[in-house]
Amino acid sequence: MPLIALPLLAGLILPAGALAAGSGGLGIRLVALPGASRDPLARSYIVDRLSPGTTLRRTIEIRNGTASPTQVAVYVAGADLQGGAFQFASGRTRNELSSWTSVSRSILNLPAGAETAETVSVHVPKMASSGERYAVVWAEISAAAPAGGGVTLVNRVGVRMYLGIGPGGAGHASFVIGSPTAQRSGSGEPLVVANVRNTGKRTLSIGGTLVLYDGPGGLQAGPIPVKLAAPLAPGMSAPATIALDGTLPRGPWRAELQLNSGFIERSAVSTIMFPDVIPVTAPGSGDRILFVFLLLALLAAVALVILIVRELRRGRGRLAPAI
Amino acid sequence: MASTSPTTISGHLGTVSVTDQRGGATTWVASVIVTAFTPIPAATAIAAVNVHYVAGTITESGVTTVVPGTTDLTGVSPVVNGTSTGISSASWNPMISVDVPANAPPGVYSATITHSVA
Repeated sequence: MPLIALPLLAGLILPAGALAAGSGGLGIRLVALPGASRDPLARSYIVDRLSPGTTLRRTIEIRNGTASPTQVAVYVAGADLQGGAFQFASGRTRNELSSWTSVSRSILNLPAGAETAETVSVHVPKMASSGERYAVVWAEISAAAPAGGGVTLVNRVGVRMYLGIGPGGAGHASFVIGSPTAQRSGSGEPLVVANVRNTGKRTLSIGGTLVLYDGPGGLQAGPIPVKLAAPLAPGMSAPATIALDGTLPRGPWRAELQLNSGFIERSAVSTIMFPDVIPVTAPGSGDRILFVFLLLALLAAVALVILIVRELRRGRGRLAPAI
Repeated sequence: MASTSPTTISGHLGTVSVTDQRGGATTWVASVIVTAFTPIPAATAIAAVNVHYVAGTITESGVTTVVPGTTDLTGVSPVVNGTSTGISSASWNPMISVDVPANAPPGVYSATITHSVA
């Protein structure tokens, strides 16, 4: 039997709610397999355990319970379990499982009251690592955008997917990043450096972006692309180093580093302040200062000698009449 | 939408109904996400963080619903959780409110509100 959601396609015009009544709605259900599992979860949702390199096919039924012909979009999007709660990703956000899953038709034009079957196929890659994966097969209808603005309502109903991937594939992939720190290169460039460690069981190619915000006077910089110099082997660490423009104010800044490897995403935020620029001393200039000092000393000495000589001469002239 | 001081605009969205005909002990989650309210002519949008959703009174039949505390709709936020013991239905008429910042430029604002039920 279908799970039917009937969010009526009412137009909301702010500030007053202008409502339109409707009947029926969009329904979706999983077609139970013959001799269906006793697991109640498996009667409502796509629940299975698969080995890497295998394929799973299930049938779902989608029903247009509205009073008018409707176009229904069918797609698979990511989901997650957070603190035991099943959390849908927004829109068509993908994850590993949704990227392995396809539907037979992505657009259905359903007459009023019509029902149609769709095939959902999951192709688990040979390299898939073991673990639980979550996604949702969605059927979505959208009210046409109101002319001249207002609220567009999008309604979707879905069948959850809980798939456990068994052993045999590539190792689990994971990494951690340390807090971004501010440094300066030997030539005085500001650098943001964060340590990245591969905590998984396979070599990862890691990249992402750095954003600096809440800087002096509300300044912002970025996103600046970041790429780890070389693929990171399991258990190994490497710094992610981002060289920035020398004219960048010292800070303080909020530095947000977001790195990913495939669908694995990690981020780290910290408040940073670039070290002072050390005054740069040109080679040999010390000798020059000494030379100038010596020259000045010499001039002073010469001036002193001249003064003494003049004083002596004057003294002689003054003495002469006395004799 | 033009004012020199912050205001709140609200309205009912229209009835949202969830009918669960799967039978047996089942659960479902209704979640909502909203985009920013963007004005025409183009100007600064009112971010989704300023949009709030209150499910209000829920009419239940054969289902127990729980409304988790949600503050804004920037992410996909669960608004009603249903635990059903058989064929059941629940319906509510949510109140949407938008905190309009001071000096929001006048114009017609558009947004998309997505309900997800699974």
